[in-house]
Amino acid sequence: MQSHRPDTAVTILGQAMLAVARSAIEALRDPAFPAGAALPPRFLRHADEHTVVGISALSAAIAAAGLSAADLADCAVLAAPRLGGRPAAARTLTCWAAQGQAAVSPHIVPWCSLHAMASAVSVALGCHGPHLGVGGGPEAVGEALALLPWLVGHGGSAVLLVATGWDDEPVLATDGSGAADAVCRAVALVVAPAAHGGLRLIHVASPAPRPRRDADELLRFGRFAAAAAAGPTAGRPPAAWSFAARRGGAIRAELVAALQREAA
Amino acid sequence: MVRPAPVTDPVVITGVGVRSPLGDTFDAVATALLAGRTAVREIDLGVGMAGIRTLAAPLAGGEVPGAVGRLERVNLQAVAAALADAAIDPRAAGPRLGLVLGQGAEHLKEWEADHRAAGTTVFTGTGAEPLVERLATAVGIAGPAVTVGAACASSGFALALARSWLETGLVDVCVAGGCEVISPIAMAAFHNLRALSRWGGEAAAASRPFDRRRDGFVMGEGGAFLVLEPASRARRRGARIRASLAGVGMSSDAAHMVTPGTDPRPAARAITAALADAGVAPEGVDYVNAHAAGTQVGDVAEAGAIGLALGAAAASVPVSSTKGLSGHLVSGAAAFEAVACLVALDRQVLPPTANLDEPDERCPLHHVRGMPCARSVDVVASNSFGFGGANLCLVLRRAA
Repeated sequence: MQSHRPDTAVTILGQAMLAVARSAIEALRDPAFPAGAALPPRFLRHADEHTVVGISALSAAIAAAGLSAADLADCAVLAAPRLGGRPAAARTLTCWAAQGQAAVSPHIVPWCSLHAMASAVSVALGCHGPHLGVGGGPEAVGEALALLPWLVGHGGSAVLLVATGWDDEPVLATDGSGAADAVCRAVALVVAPAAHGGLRLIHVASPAPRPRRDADELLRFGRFAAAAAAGPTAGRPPAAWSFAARRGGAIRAELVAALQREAA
Repeated sequence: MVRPAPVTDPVVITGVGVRSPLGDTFDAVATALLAGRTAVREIDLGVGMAGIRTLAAPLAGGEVPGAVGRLERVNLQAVAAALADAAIDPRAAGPRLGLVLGQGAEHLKEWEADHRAAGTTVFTGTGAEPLVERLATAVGIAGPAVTVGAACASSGFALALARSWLETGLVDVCVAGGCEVISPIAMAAFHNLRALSRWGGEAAAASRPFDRRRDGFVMGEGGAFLVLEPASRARRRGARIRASLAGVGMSSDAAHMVTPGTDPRPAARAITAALADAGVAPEGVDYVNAHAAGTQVGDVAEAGAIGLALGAAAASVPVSSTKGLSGHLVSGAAAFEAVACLVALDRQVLPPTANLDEPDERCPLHHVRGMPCARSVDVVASNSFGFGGANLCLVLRRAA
């Protein structure tokens, strides 16, 4: 049993951030998957908006990493939707109240539960490493980062991480429609273990005071990912970011850019 | 899994908190499992469910499924019971005590319960703090607390993550697991997906894993939380060590959002990885608690994976699914079935698969059926598979 502070070295191979108005999400249901991905037509037709936008962002991150579907076979998938599945849940509950159990969509469980986005990525991209959803609530980004070292250590070549949320939670009509201007944002990273250098993920348990809930956390996370993927810049001080994993401060996950490569 | 260093201090289980259709204590569950006492019956959901015969394995107590606060209450009872069983005072543990909740659809359930009570949170996106935070606050856990979702394998992934946190030294003790509750929407959705049993005979015979006449799973509710800690710490404080969590294996089918893949290799890889992680050869496994929920496709797929992973040993390693007695506890299934494995280790008796009258020839396993089987049990493996092709195998080893 080790007693050190968990400290994992990783490299960000590719990243992307995507922000899409709700009215434009339908057009993404047939996204450009990475080369080699073979899917049935309209695979995402029952998917939640988070999953649709998340997979598009992830496809862009994979392209930025210069990878094809064949490179992803042993990858793990970690997905962190923030209140995913709400429009479909609203539709389902309204239909159920009006028409009874026969009107309940059979797709609500497989496509709108916490695991759904991770499963969709795994199926869509052929990833046989472990996949799971994390968080589901307002601190999804920090919780995803808190789990990242675990999956980086699973033995696969990379972890596909995607976090999603509405910039402002839309107020929905009873059938789940409305709020056409609401923006769904996704940040996607392709993260690989690194022997040294790159980024260090430091996972700390502490009785920190509750941080203020940050409505722009996904945006901040996206900017962090871009800066971290760009790597160290000569003449600038080391960059550091901190994301609370749980409101209440019990986990603090920090990512620190190492400007100087550590000794091997 | 790549471990950070050779593990000389295994992660052990020192506390069990259970809420289940078979009982709310370890001894009650053990008694029911080994007596073959099924909890499946027809239930009243309190709402119209036209066309559905509502077969389920509910918790005792007569609460209305879907009631506001029930998901939190059931999970809280199991967390508190686990800590009490381990004799751990969370408020004295500070930030070195963590909590991992395995829960596949917390928000769907809470939106449904709120909607039934004329609430509007599903439309507004407002609502309570995350369940894991409410649980941590209620029992006084100050350390890391997260929720993981892997459908029907959720609470097993929670146990796997908790072991990782302990191995890397993030926490000294971790409570992990999960409990499920039945709701009208969940039952309707699984029914409309044609995943639930439509058994027309005696209710108690509806859940029949591996049997030729199986026709779907029966929902159950409840689950379990386990307290995990390093063996050295457990010994220092004189805790009762129930078993070690010796191995974890994980993989994905990458095949379909609902049905298991027809290729048994991905699920077999999870089993093989768990055995390798535990340092156990296939012939060293004394019992496999199968995920087998009683679906036509799923049980055959799992039998193929077990056969592939265990090789020649599959002919002699006993296998059973306790879902014939408990129903399928969905998010809570993996943790509850870890408790069933602890029962086997503790009592040196294997629970049988209920209602396995005619084993499906496509599931050629060494079934434990009809009666419990007394034998020496040192190493057990527990499979959990979820929608979307999430595969997990846990290996538990009897305490030395």
